[in-house]
Amino acid sequence: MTPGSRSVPDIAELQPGITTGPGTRGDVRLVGQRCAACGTRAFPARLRCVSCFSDSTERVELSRVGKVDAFTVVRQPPPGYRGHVPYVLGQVVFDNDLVALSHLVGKPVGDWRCGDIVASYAFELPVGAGSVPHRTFAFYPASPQDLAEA
Amino acid sequence: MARAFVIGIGLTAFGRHPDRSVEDLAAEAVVAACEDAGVEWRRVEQFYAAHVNQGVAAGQRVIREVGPSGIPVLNIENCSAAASTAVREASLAVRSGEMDLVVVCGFEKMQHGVLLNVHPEDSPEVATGATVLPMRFALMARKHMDRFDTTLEQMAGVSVKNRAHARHNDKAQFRTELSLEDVLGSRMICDPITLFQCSPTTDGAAAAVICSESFAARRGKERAVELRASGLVSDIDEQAHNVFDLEMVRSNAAGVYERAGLGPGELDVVETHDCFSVAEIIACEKLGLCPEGEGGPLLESGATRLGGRIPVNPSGGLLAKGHPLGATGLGQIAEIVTQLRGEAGKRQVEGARVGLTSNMGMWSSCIHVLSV
Repeated sequence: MTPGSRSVPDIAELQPGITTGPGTRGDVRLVGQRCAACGTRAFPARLRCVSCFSDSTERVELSRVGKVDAFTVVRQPPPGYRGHVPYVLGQVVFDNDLVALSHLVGKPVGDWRCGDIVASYAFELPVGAGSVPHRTFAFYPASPQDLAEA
Repeated sequence: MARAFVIGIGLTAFGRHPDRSVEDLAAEAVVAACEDAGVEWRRVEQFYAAHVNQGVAAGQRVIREVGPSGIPVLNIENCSAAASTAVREASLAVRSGEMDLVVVCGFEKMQHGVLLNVHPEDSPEVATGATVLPMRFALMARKHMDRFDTTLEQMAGVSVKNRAHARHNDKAQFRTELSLEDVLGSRMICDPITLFQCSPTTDGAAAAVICSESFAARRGKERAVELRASGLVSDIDEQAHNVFDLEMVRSNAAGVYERAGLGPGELDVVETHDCFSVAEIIACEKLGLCPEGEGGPLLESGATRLGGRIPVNPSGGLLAKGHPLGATGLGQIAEIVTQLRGEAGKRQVEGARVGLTSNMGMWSSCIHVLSV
């Protein structure tokens, strides 16, 4: 499945508010927090600033494009995980210096490399005993359009 | 502050004990530690019970098997760092002058299967498959390979070394050697971590008797080992910023060295938390045994083998001795005490006088420096 060709049904969010609603290509922005007092940003948002503990924080929509800092192919999932196995989890540095732990999808598991340029999209995962589809986010290889918009 | 000493240790065999209760295992370790110290249970003033998943009031269940009590029982859960955290609490109680004689016991019976960062079943972390612990260390391994050209062979070499060390430890879960090919060729769990680079699931218990200087003096100090300095630091990099590394070990070690009044160059022996092979390589750097990025070459040089410049995990470490979560930190303390007493037999580090334990859990580092 490639970004841009997917229809994203209106399904429950795994972590409500952690991304914007999907655009026409399935593109989403992760939603983090910026501290009005000290400027520190965090993803995801917390109750208080992660640096100065101020409560004057605001939600911010973050840049979609990032770089893979590290990744692993998980071949033995934890009990309770209902998605496809194996799957790739990676640390993505995005919006300059924020870091997200995310599924990496959109190419064969063996093709990922540190330094790959990626962009955030909506991603569907089956959740719970009934494998009910939920919407979360994942990073896909960035398309020329993703880069042009960044 | 006053000083604190370990005067007795006790361990069960680490491994599988399907026919024994966890209370029974823990009681064996407590009684063995009291006998090793030459103290009567009724003299003990406070009991610390460290575990992760052994249920409510586990410490009270344990001492019911040991003997009549009535003393304060503290149950301490701090993920895999539970036992060393409890030892730190015990040493603080003794060093403050409040307590003369306390016992700490760590114990665990574990379910089989991949190590998990336990979350409620309905959490987003479970749904996204992010609770499998080797994943975190696989990310650290990949980054270390990318930044420092650390090789698969160097990481696998940790398992080979620690299996070789455990041959001489009759409490260890795995006492057979593995070759580099065995380790690299075992089943892939989370690339690049293979099965034999993961610590096993383990049942076991370990205990220590800790006392004040005056108590140790009355008893005779010949086999006493001083708890010289301790530190507990919880992680900020992952908790606040989603960054996986062992920076908490570096910052914790810096404080512990300062309080102990010594540096990494003065250590004779180290037990570190090799829950996965790469964890030992990175910890050696964070503890200052080598410069950053040189943990791989350090392993390859043989410096961390028995007989090398600074032997690491002579007990076999978590990879070979086993990793009963709540007991692991005391397993490390017991090994260093045995080494500093000169009672480690074929795995003895000659002339060892200063040792360090580095225990980790989600999301904290607990370090002790011990000396004679």
